[in-house]
Amino acid sequence: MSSIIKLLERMGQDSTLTDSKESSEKAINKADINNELKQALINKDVQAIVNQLDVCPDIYCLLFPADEEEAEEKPAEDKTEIAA
Amino acid sequence: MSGSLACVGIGMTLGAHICPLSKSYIEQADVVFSAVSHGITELWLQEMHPDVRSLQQYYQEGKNRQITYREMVDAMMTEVRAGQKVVGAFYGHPGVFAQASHKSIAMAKAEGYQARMIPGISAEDCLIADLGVDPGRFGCQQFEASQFMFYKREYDPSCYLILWQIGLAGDKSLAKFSTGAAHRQVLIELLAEKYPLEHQVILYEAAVLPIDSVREEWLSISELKDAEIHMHTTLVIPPSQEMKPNEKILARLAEVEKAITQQELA
Repeated sequence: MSSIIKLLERMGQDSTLTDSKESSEKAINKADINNELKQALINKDVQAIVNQLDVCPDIYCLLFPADEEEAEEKPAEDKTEIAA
Repeated sequence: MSGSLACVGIGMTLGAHICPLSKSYIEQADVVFSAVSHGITELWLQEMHPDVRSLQQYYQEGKNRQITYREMVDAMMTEVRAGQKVVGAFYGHPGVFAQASHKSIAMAKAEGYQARMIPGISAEDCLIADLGVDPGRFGCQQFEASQFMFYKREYDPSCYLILWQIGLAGDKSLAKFSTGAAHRQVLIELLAEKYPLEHQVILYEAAVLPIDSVREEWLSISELKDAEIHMHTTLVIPPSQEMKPNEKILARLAEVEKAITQQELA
């Protein structure tokens, strides 16, 4: 696992890194990553990390109610609505 | 049949929420399909498994999302039918507002394959923790924002109301990635039927990366129109009214209690 991903994973799992800015910065400075990434992590600059790692910037996370398609196909729904 | 499918939740925050069982399914899979909320989260999955295929490729602005979700199901089912151990790794909870996971599991089971869902920590779970909302206190209703607008939903201003995906509120085409102030104005008019326009509401965004800050922005319903709202922003409306006692039911219950007491005394 790459050092930056390993560090981010650890930051998500370790309460000392979550709760203490000092511990978090210490872990970042000790990590085997370049200075730009270290600075971006300390500044919580997600865009700079995204640029450095060259990841896909356009991620879509759209929700869709699981039963909407079926609901639209049910004629009974419309009848109920008309009756109401 | 040797193919199988597991749709697993990886939670909202990278590293923080994935459960051991979901992680094990990912590591043991032949192929992993990912539907996550950040490019860095995708990288994290790619480092857990050598064959991670992003389902992002099926999203396209202007394309009906029903087609997108069918393509996602087809992609996963093709590998299941080929005898592969397939995992769908979804951000949050794989069964919450997710059509592809429910449909693919139902299809796999109907075709005789082993299929199951492993829950994950959802956006709702994070919202409860971050905002200190206890759904049991006043009750809580939640809807996808567009569905809330399209249908005559009964909702109760004495409980919490959560509207998911307000960045897309009112999109009838299912093909947009965002709607704007005009669509949101219609939502405001709908909410104004039950809430005062000055009622304070919350725009919420969960932390996706461990370095992210949670968004908890309070504003009035009328201010929603011009607020900065993203694809992943959620609207939380706290109760505006007190719960009204149901006198009829309370009287009936008192009668029942009285009858029980009389029976016990007899």
